[in-house]
Amino acid sequence: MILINRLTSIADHFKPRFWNAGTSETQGQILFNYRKFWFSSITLRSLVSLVPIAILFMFTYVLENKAIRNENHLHTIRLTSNTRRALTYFFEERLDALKFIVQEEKFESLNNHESLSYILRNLQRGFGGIIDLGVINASGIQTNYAGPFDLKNKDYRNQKWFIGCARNGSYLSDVFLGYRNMPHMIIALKRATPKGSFYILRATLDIKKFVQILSSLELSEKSEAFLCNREGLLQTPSKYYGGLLNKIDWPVPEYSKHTQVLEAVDRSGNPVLIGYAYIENSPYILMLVKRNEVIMQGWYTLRKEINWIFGISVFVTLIVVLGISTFMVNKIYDADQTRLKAMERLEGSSRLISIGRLAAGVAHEINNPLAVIGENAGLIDDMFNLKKEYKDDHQLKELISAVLESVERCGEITRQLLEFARHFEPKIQPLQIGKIISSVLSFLGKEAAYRNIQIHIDIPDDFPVVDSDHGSLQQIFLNLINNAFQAMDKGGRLEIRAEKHAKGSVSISIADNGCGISEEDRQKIFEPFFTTKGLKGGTGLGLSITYGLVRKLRGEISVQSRVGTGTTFTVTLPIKHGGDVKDETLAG
Amino acid sequence: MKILVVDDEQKLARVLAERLKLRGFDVTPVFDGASALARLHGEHFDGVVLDLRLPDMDGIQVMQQIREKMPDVKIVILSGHATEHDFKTCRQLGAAACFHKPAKITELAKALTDFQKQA
Repeated sequence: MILINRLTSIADHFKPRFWNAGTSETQGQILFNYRKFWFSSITLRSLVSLVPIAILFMFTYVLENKAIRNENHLHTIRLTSNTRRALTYFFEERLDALKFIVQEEKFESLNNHESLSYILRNLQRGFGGIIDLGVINASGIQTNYAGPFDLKNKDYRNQKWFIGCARNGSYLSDVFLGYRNMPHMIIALKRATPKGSFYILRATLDIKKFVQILSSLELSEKSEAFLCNREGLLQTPSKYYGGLLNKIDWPVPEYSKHTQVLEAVDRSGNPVLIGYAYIENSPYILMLVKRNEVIMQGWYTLRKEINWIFGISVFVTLIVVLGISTFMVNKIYDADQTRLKAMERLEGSSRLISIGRLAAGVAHEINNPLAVIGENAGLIDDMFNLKKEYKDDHQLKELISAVLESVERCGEITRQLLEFARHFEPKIQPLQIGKIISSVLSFLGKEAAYRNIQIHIDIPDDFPVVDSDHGSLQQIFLNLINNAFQAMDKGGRLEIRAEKHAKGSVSISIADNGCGISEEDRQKIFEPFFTTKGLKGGTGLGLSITYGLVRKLRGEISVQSRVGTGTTFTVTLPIKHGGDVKDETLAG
Repeated sequence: MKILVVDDEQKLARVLAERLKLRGFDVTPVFDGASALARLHGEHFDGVVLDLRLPDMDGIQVMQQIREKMPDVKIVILSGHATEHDFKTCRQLGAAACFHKPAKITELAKALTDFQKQA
């Protein structure tokens, strides 16, 4: 509970001044929805500042990603190419050694077991990676063999490598099991005999040797290199993609002379980057497989940083936007409040002016008949004093001096009317508009008569009773009718018409046939201190105060006018007010 | 002593004239500015009791015209709604005295007699 209170008080501390404008918590009059203005200001400013940031970051994102990807591709291609070169060299070296042997040694020496064993030992010592040597005659029978297995006189007639070598002159085989039932590969070379037949020298290569080459590559974690044949069977064991002669997880890439990279997905669903190269004159494809998650590690770190920077930028921008918007709306709100307070003060003084005018009107109306009474009573008194028959009638004299005294008192009262009319309280009550208009016209009736202005009032019989403030309405009509009077010359015509609308509102229009208002002036007519009366009079406040009063009564005021034809002011008021107006007690 | 009483309230003008007559003045009541000026052109008056609000013209205008053409005619203002400011203006324009309605006849008569003496 204490925590909630504390939080509320903290929130109150940060709450902008305009936040509660127009709610019951403030006295301030609301000109427009500051919160909505604030929200839209924040939205617009955020959009304007965040969209370029977002675009910038998106570009950075895409470009950095591309750069890192390209770098990875290049690195993979380089490494794959180098490895291919090493492997090609490995095979070619051994093939050349065999070629040398076939050229140098006579068939008889090759067919001799001791001599073949001697050559094998030399080869193993010189090059390494060679398990055994064999000589196969044209019928596919291994006639001589040197090595750890007993493969002499084996028939290779139907073996792929034998057929291939017989046809092409040399052969580099896939890894296969063969008679020895062990994975191995073969380099075979054909040599023609002088008798027109041929024999084949075959060497078995230990796959451990090129596994060694491949494993000597400095590869990052979870990356590896292996060989596969053109059917996609693994030719060297793989740590992640299965054992020897297993099928690889992705389709065999198309033949290309140059090293290539491709992106694929392995059996566990990991995206991988594969560098591959076809090894010339062999069934092998070298593959270098890197896991994306590993090679893109740098990218992930960078991306994280970019995200952080982006997040912080957005946050700072939002804070600034929030600050600026709040500051700006606060300023506008303060300016509005200052203006409203000034308006209220002016309204108060203008109200006093109208009350003064009203009081003067009343005084004039009463003073004249009062003067008549006074003078007549005075004449009677004079006669009493002059004529002998009344001179001693003290009772009559007392009566007449009572009348004279009362007249004097009334005169004093009318003079003090101004003093009495200093304060009055507005209060929403059911009112008959017709009565208010009549009362206003009674103050102005004399002026209308003097200036020969015809007044025509049209209020329907079923016109509803309206909830409003008597004083405010009186002043609104007084100001509007006064204005109409000022616009008209002698012999003008004033029309006051009341109408009921379906939407629960009524409108009262006051139309004169006076000089009219130009379009330019019409737009400014409700602005404070705007006046067309020049220096002759008029503070320029009458209509702005009228406007303020109508708004306070939750009504609308509009004006239609044509220069030379006349002006119509229309005041629309709600029939049910549904609330209390704000305190308008005059100061002082 | 000839006095012209100008007031649009006819009853008032007549009774006022009557009462002033009782006090020895020779009084003529008129009810608007134009007839007042016409009467002043036609014959000599010593003083004028003038209302400020007349049906055809402003009392101050009437006063100004009297002052221009007949500077020796003394003017007393008797108004129902004038402010102190209006009275000040009137005095500046040459009114001998100013009274709010209803005014005491003795004071009015005294004002007329006083300026009569000065004249």
